[in-house]
Amino acid sequence: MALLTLQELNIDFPDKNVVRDVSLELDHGTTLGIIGESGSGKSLSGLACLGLLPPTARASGSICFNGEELIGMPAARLRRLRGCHIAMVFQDAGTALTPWSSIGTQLIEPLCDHLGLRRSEAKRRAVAMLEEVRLPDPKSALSRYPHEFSGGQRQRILLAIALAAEPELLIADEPTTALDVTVQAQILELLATLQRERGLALLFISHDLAVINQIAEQAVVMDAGQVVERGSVRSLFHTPRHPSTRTLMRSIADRSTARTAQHTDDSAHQPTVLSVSGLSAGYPKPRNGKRVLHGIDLQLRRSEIVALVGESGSGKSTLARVLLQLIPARTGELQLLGEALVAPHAGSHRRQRARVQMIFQDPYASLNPRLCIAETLAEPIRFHGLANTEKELAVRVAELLEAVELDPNIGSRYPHAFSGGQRQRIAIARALATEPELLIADEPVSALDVSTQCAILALLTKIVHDRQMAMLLISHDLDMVRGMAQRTAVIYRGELVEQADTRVLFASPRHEHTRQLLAASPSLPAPL
Amino acid sequence: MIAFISWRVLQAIPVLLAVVTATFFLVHAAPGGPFDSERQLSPQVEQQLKAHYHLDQPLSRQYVAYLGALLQGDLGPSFRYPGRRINDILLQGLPKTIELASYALLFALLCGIGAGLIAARRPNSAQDRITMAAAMIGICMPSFLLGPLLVLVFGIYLDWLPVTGWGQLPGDKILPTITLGAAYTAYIARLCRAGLLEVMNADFIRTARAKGISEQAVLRRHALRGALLPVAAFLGPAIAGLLSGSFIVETVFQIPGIGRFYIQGAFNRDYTLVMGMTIFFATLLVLLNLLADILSAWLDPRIRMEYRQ
Repeated sequence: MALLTLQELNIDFPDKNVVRDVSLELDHGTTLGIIGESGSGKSLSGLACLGLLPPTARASGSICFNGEELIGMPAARLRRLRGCHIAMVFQDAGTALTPWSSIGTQLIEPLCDHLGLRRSEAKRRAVAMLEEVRLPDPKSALSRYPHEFSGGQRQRILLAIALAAEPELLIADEPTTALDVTVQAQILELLATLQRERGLALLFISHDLAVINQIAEQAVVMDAGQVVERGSVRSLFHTPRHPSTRTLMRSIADRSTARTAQHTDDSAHQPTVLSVSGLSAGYPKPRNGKRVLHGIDLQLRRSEIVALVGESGSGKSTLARVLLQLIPARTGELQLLGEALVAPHAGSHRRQRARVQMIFQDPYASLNPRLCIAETLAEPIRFHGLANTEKELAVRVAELLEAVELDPNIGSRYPHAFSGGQRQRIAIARALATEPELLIADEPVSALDVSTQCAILALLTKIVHDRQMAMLLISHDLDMVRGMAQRTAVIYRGELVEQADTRVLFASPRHEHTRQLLAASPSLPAPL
Repeated sequence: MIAFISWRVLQAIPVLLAVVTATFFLVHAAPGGPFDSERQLSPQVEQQLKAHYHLDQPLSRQYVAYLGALLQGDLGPSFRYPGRRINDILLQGLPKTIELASYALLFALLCGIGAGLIAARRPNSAQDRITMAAAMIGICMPSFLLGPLLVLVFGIYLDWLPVTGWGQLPGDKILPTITLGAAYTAYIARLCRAGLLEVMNADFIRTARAKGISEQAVLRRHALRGALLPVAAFLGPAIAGLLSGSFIVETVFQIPGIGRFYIQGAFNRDYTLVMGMTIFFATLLVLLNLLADILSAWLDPRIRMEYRQ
């Protein structure tokens, strides 16, 4: 008998049905992936297995665990199953731990509650658990607080908490999405090891096919609340049958291949837009007494996209801030179109600021919710005096919206009326409003669904070429960079350790860290 | 932590100096003086009085002399209560005011946190709406209206409780406590409700529930501190407000605290009395805000970390 059986599971909110007729089976000690875009109902299906749906949601159908029906089970009995037999780890390890309780308290809690252990015994178990998830110095970790750990370490702690009472089933909902590639690789490996050693059944939910490919053989594809297709990850990727699986797999493949055509563009003869040499920068109170950036040399030409890749904390965003003149450079030279970048408040600073614009990661947070789209776009135009009359301004705003392939008549609406992809288009239009020479895009698509990502990346590429701008693309996503950038620079601990033509860098990485990044990056399924 | 506290104490010095300076020149700039009254004094007597209190000297010299005395902890003599020092007036009334404020605070904390938790347990239910409506009325109701109303109902119609005094009759402390504490109860209830509702939506509450611990334990071990953090931050200003805002309640219930001296001092242009009170309350406010910050740091380890940097 299967450990977990979902039969015609339906989840309804008062106004709509979000999960429809989902059926799946999971055996003892096996792994099943669930892949789908946001809103496909994959997370809710996972939460339903723990009886943790939001209060307004209602589940119907059947969720059978170890021969027991979970839907309609009394709350007290369900609570005993939770943690003890079924455990779950969540996406954002940064917020998933109670900030004011020590790690020890949070780990010991389920042990005392479920297994009835005494505190001293529970403490011994907790240390053993932390050792098992390979957290450094597990004894002293017990008395420390979540904010004292890195993202990867917190995810390890969450795993330890989930596995402490030795459950048979672990549901992992995007457990590595918020992590760097190298850390992601470590966590995935840890999950696989724990799964093998403990004979866990693992339900692995993710939007990322490559990640699922690392951990599961079998997967189901969810779309709009339904399971549309199931099978081995390889056959799902290479021979998808259902139309929506086909669309999804095509966009996944497109991310790394479709735009490689423009690599043939010869930008070597184009004039230099940005030239950085010997740059170092840091914050007033340096962490570990170190400067964040040192010895940065970088050139960007017209119509060129240069990728900057590195782990979190490597200095990517700091470099972006220096280029935007938000923080000053300590040493080195910065030139924009042959003109030295000046400090804020100097005479020509305002004009220079118009020439460098930024596109941020999260379009849900980067647009002011109280300004309508036209106001958001008009503000920089007005500030930099780029339109003389109100009529001219309105024309400029409409042009910008057309440039990002949006209906020019949406100006009176507010950000909340738009989807993530549309918002990112608006954010791009905002960046273009001052007619910049250099665009800095900091993880421009990582908050978006795969199918939307492709469209936004294609739009960015088109804009850079049509307007002959330069773009610095900051990302940790090597797959995306490969399809997008002519050149790639790898930043590691504040230094550019390697810089080369993207194809060359991916084919024959020279620096040790580049090799690590490439090895850690999860790969798509091998051909059948 | 020690570095943080000393830094904050140092920061308080310019704040207090600004308060002293502003108050000094403002009270002196107000029309009239301490010896103006219905009964006209002879110019000679007034001259002597002014000379006695050094009011005939230039303002700048008075200011320097006042600061000098202040540094030695002397708030000067009262102009309207001959022979009494401001320090003595403060010390005499303070215990009653502090007692009243403490009871009011205790009442506000117990009822406020209780009401906030009850309301937040079932958001948008009847228990939530009724509690929050009561809280809104509590915030809106001024104490000069609430006090007499309570007196009317409980003191006169029902004849359950004494209508005035402090510590003379059994139960005479109840009505002043409620009158003073009501607005703060309501405010704390709203803060506590909002804090708990926010925390209950946090990811770590979902993690706690996924562990399968009881809902009681989720609330007590994981959510409660989040609900108390905004309350803790409000405590500093609340205590200062309770102490300095007690004069209306003291007047309504005829309690001999320091509040009424403040009002009388201002009406009588009793310069030193107004200054002394203001400086005393300003110091209190600064200290209490510091205490509230320390309390927040104790509740939330993340704030502790910020101090260290």
